[in-house]
Amino acid sequence: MPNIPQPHPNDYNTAKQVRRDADYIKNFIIKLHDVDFAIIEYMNDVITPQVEQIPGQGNKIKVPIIYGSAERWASARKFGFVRDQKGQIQLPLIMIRRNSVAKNDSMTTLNRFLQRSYAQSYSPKNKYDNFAIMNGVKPTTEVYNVVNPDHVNLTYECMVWTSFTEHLNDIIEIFTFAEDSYWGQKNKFKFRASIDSFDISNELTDGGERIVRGSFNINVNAFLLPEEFANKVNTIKSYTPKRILMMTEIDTSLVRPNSNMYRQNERIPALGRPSTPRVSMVTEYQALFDYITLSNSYDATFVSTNSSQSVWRLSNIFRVAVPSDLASIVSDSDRTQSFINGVFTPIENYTLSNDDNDLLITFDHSATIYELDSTDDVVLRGKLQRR
Amino acid sequence: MGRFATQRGFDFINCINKELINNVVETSVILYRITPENTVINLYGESIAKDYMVGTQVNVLIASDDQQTESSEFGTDAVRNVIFNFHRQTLKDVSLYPEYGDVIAFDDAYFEIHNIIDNSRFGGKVDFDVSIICETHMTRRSSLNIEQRIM
Repeated sequence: MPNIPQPHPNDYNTAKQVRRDADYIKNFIIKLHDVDFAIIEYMNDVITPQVEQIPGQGNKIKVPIIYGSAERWASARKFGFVRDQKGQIQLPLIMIRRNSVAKNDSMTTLNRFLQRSYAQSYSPKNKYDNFAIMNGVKPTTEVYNVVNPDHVNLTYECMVWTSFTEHLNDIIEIFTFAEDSYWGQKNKFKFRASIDSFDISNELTDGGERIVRGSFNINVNAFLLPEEFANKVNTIKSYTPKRILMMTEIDTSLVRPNSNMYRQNERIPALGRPSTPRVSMVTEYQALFDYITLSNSYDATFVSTNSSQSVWRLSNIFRVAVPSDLASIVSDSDRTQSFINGVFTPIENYTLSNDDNDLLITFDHSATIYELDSTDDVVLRGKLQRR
Repeated sequence: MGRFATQRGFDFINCINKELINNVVETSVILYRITPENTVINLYGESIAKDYMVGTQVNVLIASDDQQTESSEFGTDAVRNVIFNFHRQTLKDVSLYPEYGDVIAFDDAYFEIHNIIDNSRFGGKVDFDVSIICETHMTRRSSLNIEQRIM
């Protein structure tokens, strides 16, 4: 039979293979378009620069904001609302365009190899219902592990054209008030935007139109996160475990020897030599495995009591000796645990001694605070064995 | 009185020009004059709410440049210069004299006067003014208050 290499079971962890096509939560993506959109929408919807057509009459005109250097057909036909029928631009008008994208050096500690986890409180797998509450069913929480985004500094150039200085004043005032805060739509991405200064110039050319120009740069601290990188999605969905079982278990089936001696033993059959007895890790460390997995509990019988101490007996029970390999790490409290009426009692409260084939437990009443009598139940658990 | 530039000759020229402009060419424009006494100027020497007199329709001879399109960050912008040649006697009949900043409505656009040439005279004589030439550029409707702006 040909030797077909089989994938290691750890290569395919089905617990990590989560279905994503029915998700109602989209992947976290932040593109440059999202930043541009947030900034321009904030300018349009929140800052909303306006000028008075005639001072004192209250008829305000919302100043249009366009993205700079559009295609000719678009600027002439799609943005016709900022032009008259002759194609002449009507003022005031604000133009914005992104000039640069630079790395944010102050945020270099965060990189794409780190993830942040966001838990979804309720989901189809984690419904809020009375049945789960009454039965103490622990919910399974949806967790979205999102790769840290890349932090960048964007610079936007804004130019304002107006016919009058008063109009430019209104626009500068509102932008000055709005700067140095987080710009973006409500419940959507927001980015910190700041403006350093405003440049103003009045142009009165020979035989041309008088134009009042203002220009300023908007510095935006933004972050970018592509949907996937290196064929790996940047938003990984997972579920929290519904229950955790705590138990002692040793799996020896997958343990493969690493020492040269074991490898040599493995190679011998392949070379066609007579197979030699294999050395198993289980047989070599059997004593350690047995000791680690040993956990017996026995009920003690009442012997005597007085005001200072009480004595209990475990007939034909002995404490298993600690293997020499574990002697340095196993303490007395690891070897035995005592319970009085089901309540754990620290090892400082009692002493263990051998009486022929029996094991005696002597409780110190000054340590236990209360006195024990024959009605109490005493159980000793740990590395014990019956003779 | 010069030998050739006589009053009779000037009257003849006037008559011919008037007939040519009003009966042959018949290109009419509307001239809106700013009323400085009703127009308030702010600190910056500008007036957002300009006050214009009622427009006066007059016939003129027009020398128009082709419309140019300038491209900038704001997209395309139309630019057009037009020279309006007014008959002096016709303007005098309606007590009209164009000045800097006045607006002329023509061809569905508004043109602001940025230069006035008032030295075309018959025989070079001061009393024999033939025409007033107004050099204009197409102005933005948004800077005027002649029409209601809807945004």
